[in-house]
This record gives sequence, structure tokens and C-alpha cells, in this order.
Amino acid sequence: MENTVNDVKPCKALTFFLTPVLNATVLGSLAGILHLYLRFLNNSQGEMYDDAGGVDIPYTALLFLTAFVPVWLLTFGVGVTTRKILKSSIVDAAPARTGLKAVASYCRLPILDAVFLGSLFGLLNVYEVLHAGNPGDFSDPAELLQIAGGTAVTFLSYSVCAALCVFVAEMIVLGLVSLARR
Amino acid sequence: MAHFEFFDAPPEVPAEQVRLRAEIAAQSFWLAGAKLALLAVKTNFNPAQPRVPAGNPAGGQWAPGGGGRAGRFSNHQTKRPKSDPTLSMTSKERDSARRADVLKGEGGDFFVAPNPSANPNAPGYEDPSKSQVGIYNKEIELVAARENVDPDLIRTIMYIETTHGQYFGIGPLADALGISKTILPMNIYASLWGKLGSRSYLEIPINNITAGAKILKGIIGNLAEPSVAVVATLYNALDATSVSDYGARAAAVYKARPWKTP
Repeated sequence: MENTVNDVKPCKALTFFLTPVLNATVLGSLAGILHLYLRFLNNSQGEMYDDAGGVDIPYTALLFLTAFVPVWLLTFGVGVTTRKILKSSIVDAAPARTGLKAVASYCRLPILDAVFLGSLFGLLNVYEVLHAGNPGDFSDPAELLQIAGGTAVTFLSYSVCAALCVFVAEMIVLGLVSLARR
Repeated sequence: MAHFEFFDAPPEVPAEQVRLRAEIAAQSFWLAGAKLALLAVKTNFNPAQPRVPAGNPAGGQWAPGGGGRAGRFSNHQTKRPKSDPTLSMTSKERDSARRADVLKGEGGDFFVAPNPSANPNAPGYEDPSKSQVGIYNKEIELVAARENVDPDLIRTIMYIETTHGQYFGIGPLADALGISKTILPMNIYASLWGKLGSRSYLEIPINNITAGAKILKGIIGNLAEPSVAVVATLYNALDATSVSDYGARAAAVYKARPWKTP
């Protein structure tokens, strides 16, 4: 019996959203864990502990979500957008090609996601530095050059790190999904 | 970069903010006067300080051993006080007892042992670009003069808290959502230091800095021989019994003064 349009639609939607959801969940969890790890390292004035001296579980969960939710939403949004732009999903992420073309075709979505998310993360940190920090005197040409250099370093350091994390995480997700589909 | 434009406040600025700005302007004026007075009487002048005897090449000049910034803090707390009753307490009891003494500003005799293995190096997540010392320089000067606390000690703590406590932007987000127990820029633990002000009060930077300065002053008042490392260790964890990495890092930051001031 042939599939009707109604039969196919949910399946397409599932495959279209599968990797963005998985990517967002993996990266959100990574962000949450990293946030908690750093908080526990600092543990300023024992903030991670409750009155009884044990780990404050509700507070820990809230801090995890504070990192998880924005990263999840951002990754999901970027993932869906890149798949819309390339009109691609896991279904045609790795068409039947060989050699470098196959690798390029397999990696194009993670690369695009990494570039978008990395740039966003870099820009957010540059905004934070310029907004909350003390960048200096913009009217002094020498200082302006120094500020521009510092801003570029901030952008590159944050965006490159984020892009690498996104790429590695997405390749792992993509690999696992491809394995599961076989 | 001008951070306060006292006379150009747009009409939509809340009245409370305008009032605070006006207070800062008034206090800045007072501070300028106080600085002028200090200059007039010569900073650190000590008439009892010995002079090099006549006949020497440096005859008549001040002999070493006078006052000055370096004299405010030693490098380590070496002298053990006569008694620190909190040392025999549990960590939680020690924290409570010391907190009460810090709030009083005296009465305790805290002992924090030196720790040569404490790491003074910047941890990997320290991001100097996130330092907020420069933006709050005016408030720091004002609060330091008002509370009689070394402004560089306040800067040191703020530098560490703001460069360690950003968590790639998640820290300020948690603060803004009211989730964090501690509030930047001095990272005040709102519920533990409730006597210094409510959470909403501590969310206003100058109140936050004032609370931080009061805590520092209270800690110093309870130490026989305060050092930057010991004061910072206690600021980070009041139940500490030996200098922590945080304290060692603070001593290094205090020495290097990596902040940019206008």
C-alpha cells in the first residue's frame, strides 16, 4: 500500500526536527554542566550548599536550567534556520557521494550551525564587555585601536571555542543518528 | 568615558536612580574636598618617624619604617592570635560566629593559617575583559572614603568576583532573573548578609559595593594582623581555617593591580 501525504508528513517533520532537538539538548546540557562545574569551583561564600551543609539541589537545578534553556532555544533556532536555508535535514544530510564531497556534504550543517552559533556567542560576549565593562575612551585614536584589538580578540576567542564545541557535539549527534538509522 | 551625566538625565530615568546619581555627585564633591585636605596635611606624615642622622650621605631624610600603603597589609598572617574560639567549632558554627563578629566589626580573633600551596595563578575561566572595576571606579573611591577601607582591596575583590563570576554571560542572567544567591559586582550573598540590606537594595551597585566594603572592614577588624590573602579568603568563605586559592589569587591581583582606571 502506498503512503499517503498524511502518512509521510509526521515522519518528515520528525526527521527535520530530530537533529536540531538532539543538538540543542546536547549543547544545552553541556552548557548547564559547565555552568554548574564553574559554580562549584567558585562556590562563593558556600552558595552551592544549603543550610544543612549539603548540596542545594533546587538551587543547582535552577542554575542548570539558567544555562540549559537559553542555549537550547538558541541552538534549536539556529539549527532549524540553517536546515531551512539549505532545505536539508538528516534525510538528505549525507547524500550518496564519495570521497571529500561526501564528507563536505555530511559536515555542511554542523559547520553552518557552528559558524552561526559561534558568531552569536562571540557577539554576545563583545556586547557584554562593551556594555558592562569599561572599554575606555573612544575619542582617543590610540585607545580606539587598542579597544578594537581587544574586542576582536574577545570575539575570536569566544566564537572559535563555541564553534568548535558546537561542531564536535553536532558531529557526534549526527553520527549517532546515522548509526541508529541503519 | 563618562558614566554619569548628572545634569543630562533623560526624563524617563526613574526617580530613585536620579536620587542616587545626585547622592553620588554630592559625595564626589565631598570626596574631592577630603582628598584636598589630605594633600594639605601630607599623606602618611608621621612626626615621630626617625630621620637619618647628620653626617650620613642621606642625613636628614626619613628613615625606613614609616607608614604607607604597604604597611596596611602584610603578605601573610603569621602571628597566631591568643585565641580563636571558632577553630574548635564545626564549619557551620564557625561561619555563624564569625559572621556575627564581622557584622559587629570587632570582638572576634580570627585565625587563618598560611598556606604555601595555595595557587595564586589565574584560573582558566578568569576573563579580565569582564572586569567591572573600571566602570565602578567612582563608586569604589566614594565607598572606600566613607567606610575607611583601602580602595584597592575593594577593587581586588570586585576584579576577582566579576572576572570569575560571569560564567560566559550566564552569571549576570541568573542575577537578572533573581536566581543567584550572590549578587555582582561584589558578589554579596543576599540572604546571609541580610542585615546589610535586602536583595533589591543590594542589586543597586553602590549599595552592593558598600555592603562589600562593610564586610571587608568587619573582617579586618577581627584580624590581629590582616593580609590581603587572609582577608580575601575570609570574604570568600568565612569558615576558612587556611588561606585558599581565592585568597592567594587576591594577593597576586592586589599586587599586580590589573584594572584600568580612568
